[in-house]
Amino acid sequence: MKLSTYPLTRTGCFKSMLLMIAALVILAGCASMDAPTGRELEDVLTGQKTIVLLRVEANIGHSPYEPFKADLVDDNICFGLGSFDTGGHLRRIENQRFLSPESRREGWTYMVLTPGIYYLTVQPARRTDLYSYMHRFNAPPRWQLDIPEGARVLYAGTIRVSGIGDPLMFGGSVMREILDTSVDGTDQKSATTISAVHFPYLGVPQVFLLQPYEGKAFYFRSPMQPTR
Amino acid sequence: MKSHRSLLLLLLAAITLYLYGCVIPIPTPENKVLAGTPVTEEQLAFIQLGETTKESVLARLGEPQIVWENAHILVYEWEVRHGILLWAVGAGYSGAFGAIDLRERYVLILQFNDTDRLQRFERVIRPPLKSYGDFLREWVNKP
Repeated sequence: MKLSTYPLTRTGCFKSMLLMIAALVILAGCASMDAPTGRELEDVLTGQKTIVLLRVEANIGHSPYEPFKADLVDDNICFGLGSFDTGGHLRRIENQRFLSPESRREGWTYMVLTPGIYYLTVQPARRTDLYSYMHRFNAPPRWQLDIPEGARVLYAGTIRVSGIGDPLMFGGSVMREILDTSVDGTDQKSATTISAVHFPYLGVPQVFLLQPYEGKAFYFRSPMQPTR
Repeated sequence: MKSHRSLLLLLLAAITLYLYGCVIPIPTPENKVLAGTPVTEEQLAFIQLGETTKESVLARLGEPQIVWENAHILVYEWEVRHGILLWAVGAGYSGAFGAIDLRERYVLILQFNDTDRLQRFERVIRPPLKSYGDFLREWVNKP
């Protein structure tokens, strides 16, 4: 009896492992769907915070490259954000936020921020040690994001990223280095649609495009008292 | 139960013997600049409270690291080495060692009044575990 059940148990164990791996692979792609919390929406409605919509369109050579697909552990394109609280030093946004799987596939991400001045950058997924990678977020390109008081939803632009990549073992490629970036406001209509779907009560998004920033000084316009 | 506890202690002792390391901090003079440009006391000799303008500070000290517009504040920042941390880790027949610079973060904060005349200034060490925003807010709200 033992001899006959042994192979079955091993097979069962193997199947369970396969199922777990498959589940992890699937979950890795959608684990970070993260709608604004009730508290954040309350803060947006009272003018203390702003929802900032951003789109990334990436290419490797002439091939489109899905920016927020986790080919490695990270998303293919990651953001660094410098704020008053970091003294302008750009730190990687650890949990990039997405409103839906569809908008994520289309390259949309969002942030909930207090009105003021911020600095933003993009980098490909990490393929080096953590220290070197974190250091890269303070290198160009860098944009200034100016969020005016009273803006509830804001479209900060579409970042176009082109870079060079390396092939992956099971097909596709992963971006190694960003060669060129630019920002434009061509997706304003899509931003309005996304906002209408997810935040119908917040009105049409205002447009304040990211501005390229090459200065040494970080300018801030922050309240004297901390905000929640 | 007792045998389990003995086994655990034995295991811990084995791990301790197998993995071991040490860190030795060595203080050094603060003469190596790791980031930014230091602002010395001599460079601040021209400053006169209530008289010195923002333009003259910018002309003498150059572009600051931070401009907090609504608080009329300029911040100059630099980092110096104030020590070296030697570390070594051993594991079995292999090991690693190295040295890390211990950093002291200095900031010169200058606050101006509405007419851009210098109201107060201070050269301080920024605490490493406090956010920049909290640190500056505390300084501004300090009587």
